[in-house]
Amino acid sequence: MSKAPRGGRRKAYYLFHRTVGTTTAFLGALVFFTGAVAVFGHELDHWASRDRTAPELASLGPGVLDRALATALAARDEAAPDSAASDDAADEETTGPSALIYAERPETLTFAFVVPGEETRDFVDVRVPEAPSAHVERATFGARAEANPRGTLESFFVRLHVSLLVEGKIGLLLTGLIALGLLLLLGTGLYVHWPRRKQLTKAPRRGVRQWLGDVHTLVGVWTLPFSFVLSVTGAFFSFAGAILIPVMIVVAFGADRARMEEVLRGDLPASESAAVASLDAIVRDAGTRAAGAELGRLRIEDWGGTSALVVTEFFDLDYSLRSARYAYGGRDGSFLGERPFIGARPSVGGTLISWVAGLHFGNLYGLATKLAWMVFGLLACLLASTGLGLWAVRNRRQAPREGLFAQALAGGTAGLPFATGLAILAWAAAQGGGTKTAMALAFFAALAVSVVVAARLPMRVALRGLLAAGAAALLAVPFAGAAVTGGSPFALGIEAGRVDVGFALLALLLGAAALRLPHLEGRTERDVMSFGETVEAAPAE
Amino acid sequence: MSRAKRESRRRWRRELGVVLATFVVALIVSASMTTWLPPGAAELDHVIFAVVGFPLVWGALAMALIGARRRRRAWGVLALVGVGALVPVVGSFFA
Repeated sequence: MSKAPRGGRRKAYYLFHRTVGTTTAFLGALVFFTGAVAVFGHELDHWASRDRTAPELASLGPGVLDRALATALAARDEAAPDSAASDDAADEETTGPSALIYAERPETLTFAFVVPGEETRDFVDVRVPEAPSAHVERATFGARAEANPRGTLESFFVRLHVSLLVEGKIGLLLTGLIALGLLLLLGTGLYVHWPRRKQLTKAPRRGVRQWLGDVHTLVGVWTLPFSFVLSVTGAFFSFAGAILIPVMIVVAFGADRARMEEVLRGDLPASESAAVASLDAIVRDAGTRAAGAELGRLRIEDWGGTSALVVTEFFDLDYSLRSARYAYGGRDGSFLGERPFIGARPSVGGTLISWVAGLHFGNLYGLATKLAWMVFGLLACLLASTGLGLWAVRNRRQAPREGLFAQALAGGTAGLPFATGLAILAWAAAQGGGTKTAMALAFFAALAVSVVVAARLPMRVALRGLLAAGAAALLAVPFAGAAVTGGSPFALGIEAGRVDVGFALLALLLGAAALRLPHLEGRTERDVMSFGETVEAAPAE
Repeated sequence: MSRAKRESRRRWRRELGVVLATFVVALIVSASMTTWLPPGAAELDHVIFAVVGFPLVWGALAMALIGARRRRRAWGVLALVGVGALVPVVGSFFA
């Protein structure tokens, strides 16, 4: 019978930690960093469109919603008669159109009508409050977002975080595997670096190797619950769409996708009245039920049909776990009930999904948890960076090529703020068109430069330069934003001003880190790392 | 090829094998969970628990396999778990 590697379980875990670390740490840091930015993606898009405030659905004034809906229906029937015909051709009980209603452009309500059997929608833009006419266009949500260069910041960082900009299921599988790799790194790392109580409160020692080792253990242990939760929930989100849901459809629903969608959507019984409900009245009623929450969008289903339904969806930015979706009969406007996050009625599984979403997106308790998530996300990047740095220092003599590779990757993680800042500057420069391409090019070019710089220069010099470059790029972002929107940076009275302050604080933090780095030099202690365990270092010179 | 390089390559293959094998078994275990977990009031609890539980199942299997003192026995147990979980999955197609 074959035996475990010499040195037992600890060595086996250490070897695995090393292999998985060198292959996933850099991409893991990229995912964590872009996730930390994406936590404030909504605020970023507000920051980018501060001069183009969209109307609030809940305060449009009496009759505006109903008037806009009538205009949208007429315009859509005229411009896309094929969709209107297919509404009538559907089965007996469903005869009306379905649409999402939201506001994302100044003085405009958007109606995204479902085109049966197609991914595209008929988008109808109605100017409010007058609603005199409407503009109709058939497109996908992605194409619509692309056509609005101001609104691409959040989607860029979210797509980078979710799929590394790789289209389709491949991107999801890639980030899912990274999440699993991080999960394994946490498990094996905890076993290998099992900290003593003293290590958890001790300040990191001086000397590059000691400092890297101490900070790696310290940050790894203190952020363990966060990294664990993020890895598990991240793997869930990635694999659910890419592989798990298709498997579950086959096993749990006998390959009947429609049946699964019905269970997940949770259709509610509709009223049988012959009238058509007033959207304005429904929004007023929903607003009183969800006091304090922001009405994000409305959904109409089978409008004018026998089972017409209206669902109001509140995006409560302060507390996402509260269910704030109310269903109303589309004919008499009667309140049908509160809809849970998922499914037809409240369930343990629905609550679990709410928690998983809240824990992953960091919006459990408003700004406080979002800030905490951002800080923990940045610390997770530091964990990856110090791990790679440690690997580079240890291999400098024994395996120079591996050491150089790890050093280059460590530099890449240090270049993430620089890449982010440069991507936002590219966004500002490319407002004429092609923002997505410009941002991707700037981001990956900055990362490539960071990797090359880290490989060619001494680690300390490279890190110092990359952090300083990151600070400079982030400091320039508020001015670029102001140039795009025509306002002034750091206008503290508005939300965009607070975002500017956030960028400036991050820049200061990076600047301070760059200045502190020289203190790490000059201590060449003869410590030996044996399977992750630090043997007491010789006294410093 | 040097001995160290051969050893390194063998280790890579072994580690990749562990990741892939535990991934497949975790997928089968998650799929089987939908057949024996109660569906709950909204008829979706069994699916949600299976999907959310997948990374945890994979992590537990991978940690157990990597740290196993008797590697061959650990692979045997993994195969048993996979086959055991596959039975209700296959059974669900004939139910």
